[in-house]
Amino acid sequence: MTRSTRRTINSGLFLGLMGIVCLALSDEYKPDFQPNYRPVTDSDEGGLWYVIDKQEEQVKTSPHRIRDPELNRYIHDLVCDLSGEYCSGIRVYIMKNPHFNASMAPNGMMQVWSGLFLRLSNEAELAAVLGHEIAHYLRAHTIKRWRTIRETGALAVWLDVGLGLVTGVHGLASLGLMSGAMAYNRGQEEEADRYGLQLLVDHRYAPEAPAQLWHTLEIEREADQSKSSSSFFFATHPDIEDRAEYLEQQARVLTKPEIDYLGRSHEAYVERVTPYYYAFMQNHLELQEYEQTESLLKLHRELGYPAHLTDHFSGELYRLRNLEGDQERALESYQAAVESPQSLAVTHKNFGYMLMKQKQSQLAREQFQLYLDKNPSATDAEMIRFYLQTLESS
Amino acid sequence: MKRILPLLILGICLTACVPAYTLVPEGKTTSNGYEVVLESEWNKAPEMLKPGPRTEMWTKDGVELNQLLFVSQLDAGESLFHSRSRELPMPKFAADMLPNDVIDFVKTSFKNLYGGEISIQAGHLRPQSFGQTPGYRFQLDFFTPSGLAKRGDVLATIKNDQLYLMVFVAARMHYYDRDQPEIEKLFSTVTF
Repeated sequence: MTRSTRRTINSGLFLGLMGIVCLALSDEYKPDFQPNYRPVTDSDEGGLWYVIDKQEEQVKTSPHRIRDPELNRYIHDLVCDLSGEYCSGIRVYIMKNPHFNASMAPNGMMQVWSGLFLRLSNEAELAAVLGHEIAHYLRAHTIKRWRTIRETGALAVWLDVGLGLVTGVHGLASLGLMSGAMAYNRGQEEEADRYGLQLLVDHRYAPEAPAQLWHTLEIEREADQSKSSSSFFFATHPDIEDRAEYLEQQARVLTKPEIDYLGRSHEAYVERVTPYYYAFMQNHLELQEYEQTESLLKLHRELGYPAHLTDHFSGELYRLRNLEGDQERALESYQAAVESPQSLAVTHKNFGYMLMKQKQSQLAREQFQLYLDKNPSATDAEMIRFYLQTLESS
Repeated sequence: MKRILPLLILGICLTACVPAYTLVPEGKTTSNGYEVVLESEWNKAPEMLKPGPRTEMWTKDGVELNQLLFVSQLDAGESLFHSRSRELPMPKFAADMLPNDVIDFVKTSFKNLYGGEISIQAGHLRPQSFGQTPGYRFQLDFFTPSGLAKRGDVLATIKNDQLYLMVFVAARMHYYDRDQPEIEKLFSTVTF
């Protein structure tokens, strides 16, 4: 037996054993407290809740909050389904923020960022993220972390910077500061992963979803080498490969072939998110992280998002990046997007502008006219009519 | 004399180190190559506080509450504001930009000025002469990271492959509405 074969067998055995141990452990996860728990005010935990309750007031009225009733209801119902009798203690806030994240505060304030939806492939992956956050909550990870940090003297930073950022009151944080102060420790992340998976399986959601999501994120990270350090998510969750591996291992152990698991359909998820897709992607494009946007668009095409939307954003990406050859690429993408009967008015407009730049006056006029036909009350209608006249005489 | 000397040096240092705004009185005046007639007094920001290379900045009550930027002769490849971060470089002007590109150029420049932590809505694009040159104007709306709502008006044109901009940004609460009529008049009477 060669050394490498022996190593392979050893690691296989190790992983196998790990799987059995994990299964045993996962069955034992229980919440740390009773439903509707609230700490007494003069305890350290009561003090922490007091501070976070105040932050929550700001989140509630934040201009970045997404109030769409249907999306809020959908997430709320999913959270309630996963958290069962603990649902009444959790309040969900969907925030407009193109980064990938969801967070959970110890008082039951959960935040889901719009950027999360852009990375998911199906409802099971969404349930996986929510389950992970619910697990942090049920195991009271924040108060445990707070007690550790208090002993290190970093508490003021944790409260001022950490909580402010995670609650979103400082706007669309770039979140470089987050990594040290606010992150759960590695053990807590792993526990939330495993407990989250347990919640997922208990509710018949596809067990492979968490590991699949990590793989998707890894692909995005690879596409975005230049800026990975500034990404909040990757700064606080450094061990993607490790986590994907143990989650995959545990999912294999938990999967039962006779069960028809929920949430695997890409189509159902895409249909659910499509009404919000334009706003969420527009917000992501504003990050100017074009490799990342390109990688997301590739994922969205594979998932089957409507082509007139993905083509529109490819056009926008190339127009804004404006490197050598990008104007031609933008023209091709806009052309593909306007061929759909569902094409967006704004695609016709930006296609028209790009054609005008290329001195294709007649084609530009056609697109501008289509823009006005599709959006007669546009606030820039006067500008477009001005160009229609200018192009006619040119 | 020995006792006075350090005080004198300190005095010189303080006057030299503290950037001073200069009063711009009512009436006819020039700013960065533009000629305007003012109905009220403004304050011109000192050189070291200018946000960009081709920019003059005025304010009435402090730049966080209201500011008026005069940008002139911005060449292709130049940025509206000085870059503050290598990870978030300022976008560069291109001479072939059309109104949709200029809107994104201005939006992204402001976003990056705030470290990327704001999201700006732009709208109400319409034609408007800028001095003797055909131009256009549009509106900006955003919240600062601390939650202050701001609104801006931008007048823009490209002449001889160079970008000219007048940008007014003020807090939505009280300041924008108070100063808007004056800005309206400035936009329609400016010459360069």
